[in-house]
Amino acid sequence: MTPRGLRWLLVMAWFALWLLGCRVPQTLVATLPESTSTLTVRTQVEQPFYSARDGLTAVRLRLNLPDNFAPGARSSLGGGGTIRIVYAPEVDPRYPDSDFYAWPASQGWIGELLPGRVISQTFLSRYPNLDGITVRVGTYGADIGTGIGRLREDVSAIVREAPIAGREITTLPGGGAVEVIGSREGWVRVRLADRRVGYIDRASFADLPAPTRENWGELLLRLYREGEEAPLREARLRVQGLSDESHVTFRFAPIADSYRTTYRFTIEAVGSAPGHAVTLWSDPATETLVFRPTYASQVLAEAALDAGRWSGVEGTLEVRFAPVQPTRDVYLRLIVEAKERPLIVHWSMVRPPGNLPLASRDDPGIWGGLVFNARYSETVPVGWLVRTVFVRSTRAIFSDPVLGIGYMFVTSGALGLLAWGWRKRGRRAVVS
Amino acid sequence: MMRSGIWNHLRRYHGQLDPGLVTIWVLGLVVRFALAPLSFHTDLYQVYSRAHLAISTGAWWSWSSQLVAQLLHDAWLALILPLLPGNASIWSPTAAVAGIGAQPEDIARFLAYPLLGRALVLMKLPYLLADAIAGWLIGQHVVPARRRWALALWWLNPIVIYTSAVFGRHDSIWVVAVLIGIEFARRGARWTGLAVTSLAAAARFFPVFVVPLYLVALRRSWRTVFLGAAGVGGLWMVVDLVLLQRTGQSPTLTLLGEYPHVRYLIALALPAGDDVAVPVLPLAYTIFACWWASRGPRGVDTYRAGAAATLCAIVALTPFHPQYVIWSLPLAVPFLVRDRTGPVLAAAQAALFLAWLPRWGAAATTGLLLPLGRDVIETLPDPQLLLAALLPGSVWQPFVRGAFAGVTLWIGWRALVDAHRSLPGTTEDDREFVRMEA
Repeated sequence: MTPRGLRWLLVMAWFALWLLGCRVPQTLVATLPESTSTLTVRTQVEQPFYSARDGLTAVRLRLNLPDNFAPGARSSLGGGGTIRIVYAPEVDPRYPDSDFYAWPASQGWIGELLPGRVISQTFLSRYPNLDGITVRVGTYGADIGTGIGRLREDVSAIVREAPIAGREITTLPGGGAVEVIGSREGWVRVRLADRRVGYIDRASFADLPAPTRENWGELLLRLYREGEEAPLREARLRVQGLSDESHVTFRFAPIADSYRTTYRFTIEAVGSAPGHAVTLWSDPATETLVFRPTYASQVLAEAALDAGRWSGVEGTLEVRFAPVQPTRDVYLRLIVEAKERPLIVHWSMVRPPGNLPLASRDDPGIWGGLVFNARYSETVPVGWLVRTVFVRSTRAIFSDPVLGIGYMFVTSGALGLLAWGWRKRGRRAVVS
Repeated sequence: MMRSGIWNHLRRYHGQLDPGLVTIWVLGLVVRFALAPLSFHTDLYQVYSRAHLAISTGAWWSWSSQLVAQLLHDAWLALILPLLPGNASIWSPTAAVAGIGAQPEDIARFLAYPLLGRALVLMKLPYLLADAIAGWLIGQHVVPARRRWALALWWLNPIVIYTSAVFGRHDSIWVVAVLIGIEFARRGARWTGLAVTSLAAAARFFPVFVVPLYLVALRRSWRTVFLGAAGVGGLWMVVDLVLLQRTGQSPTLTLLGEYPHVRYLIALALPAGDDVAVPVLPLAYTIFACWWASRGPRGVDTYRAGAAATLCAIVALTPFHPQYVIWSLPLAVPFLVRDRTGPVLAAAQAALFLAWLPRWGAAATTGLLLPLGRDVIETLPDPQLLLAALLPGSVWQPFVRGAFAGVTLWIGWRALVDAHRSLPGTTEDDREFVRMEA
């Protein structure tokens, strides 16, 4: 090799080494999705999202800036608005109780919880500040019996498809009689004249069928750190106050270091007896209790939009804050709150990671996601990227034996032809 | 038997094999095969999902807007499905629903397919084969001494590799159809050439603009021009009416009414009055077509030059997505290799294309490497933002796009000027072909 060639080779090698030493900053998404439309925020808008990395340190929100300010109005980028980041474990779909309203037929009750029967369940806590366990209980009609109920005279009763926030299916006039067939989440399950089943708020009834039974005692929950014998927390619930087919939460003092820690909890009945005991809802297919851990609320970051930096390239306002830990493998919630003036933010049909819709108090009908990005303090070395791309490329080809053999055949054939062609390199002719 | 046949063939041609050409073929092949299983665009997934829908439900006409291209993919998928065990759940059920298309969950299922690499290679194989056939045909259109450059400017061109092997776009198949049309015309079979070119026009709309040039340049008489135009137009109408009757939708009207590509053709316009604008491309094309018809040039080379100039102008003057830039190349390459500045122009065009790609963000660049894993791809910064950190986007994007349009237009102009000698009448060679066919 000539000295000139060697010099170029050294320059290239130095450049490659320099490149391998670089690090790539991490963001929530590589590029912002295309805006579908805008949303005027007068109060607040929330966007849950899945965060895969640690050290969230900035949020870039696409919004429209005003092109002028009214006389006397303070000229500011964010109109005094703020953003907040909080954990959103309630939307995390990775716990068995992933849908509040779903009572699938594939799941069922475990039978009466009598003294001596201990239900045990292990789980990975994905967030800090664990402060409770929510399970589903059945009381066998201990709160409301079946029969004919009478509605209050002074109000008409809204019948919903599901309790609490279900779609309205009809309204019944006050004072009428209605067939009661059970209860769920404290709401009364009724059968209408046209055989449809719906739910009415218990407060709408003047008279309800008497309960068919009485349950006794308490439910006792003990929480253990996995591998330890001594319970970490205990919580009790009196069974007499429980509603049939409802979610109940065992509350205890928050555990600050519960992020990515495995726990085990046990539930047992104290003081119950056959015919006077409650039951729990479970999934026989996975042999797990249908439950969900709950967490004490915690504001991870709060910053004023006015302190943000405007990017003309993306049309975003970037708000920075001290790196938040931990944010790896958790669901977070971005809350944008307007103050002095409404904020015009962008939303897209392409939702952020986690694929959850935004929640707007001002315009509840939007099912898209906020157009925003997040930046992390965590960075990735370019060397890791190069190595990963190489390893995965090789794996993509050679993990499939048929493809691997095909590739080797084609490559060796092509290289063989190349060698064959260059064997007598002086003889060049025209066949292509 | 087959092996000995190949062996004998190699032995016979050993002395004639050009090692330079072989090197180019091998390099292009290796690059394509290396990239094919690692990249794709959702367009590729959608066209095959629609094909799967057609095969599994028999709804062959559910996607009528790009019927010819879709039918080809339907047939190819039917052939390769046995090689993709357990593929039933990897396709999108909504890919054929206009306005919805493949959803992120569908793409996630596809990416989780254990034989993803094999699937991608098989899905792109027709495009790679088309690239190779196009390279071979282009090589036949130049003198032997220029064959290496011609092949390299096509087969190793980053624009072609990006379109077929990385993006997974089927345009090179229709490029081959246009080139085969020329090959037929060269051999005197002008009506067959017209039929193949029209087939390409039925699949992609770029060749639509070269069909009138073909009719004029390869006419036997002006009567045949009108006959050819009536034949192509009539056939198109018949197909359109049949599909209208079967599906309730006219493919032509769907394309004109709903596809943004048609609006791209009129996007660049000169202000002529208060609310009136004159679109540049239709204006330029009409003037060119009038000039073409009034001069009545004849010959394959002339047609190729006019078509190359037209395709370069469409690519240069409309806001097309990067996967369509391939159309500026196949007919222009034989003119680019006629002197030493041609390869430089082609290199400049390719470099500007690559510099222009980040304008489309991750969707047309790093996002195509999704088969390597979402975690890796989401780690990579958006090339558009990366460049914007170095140069204002409002400066580099128009500059690069303008330079790209300039080089592409210049390539088209060169082709036209090179062929200008044959514009007054038929060249001797072409006259010979015309006589043979007559």
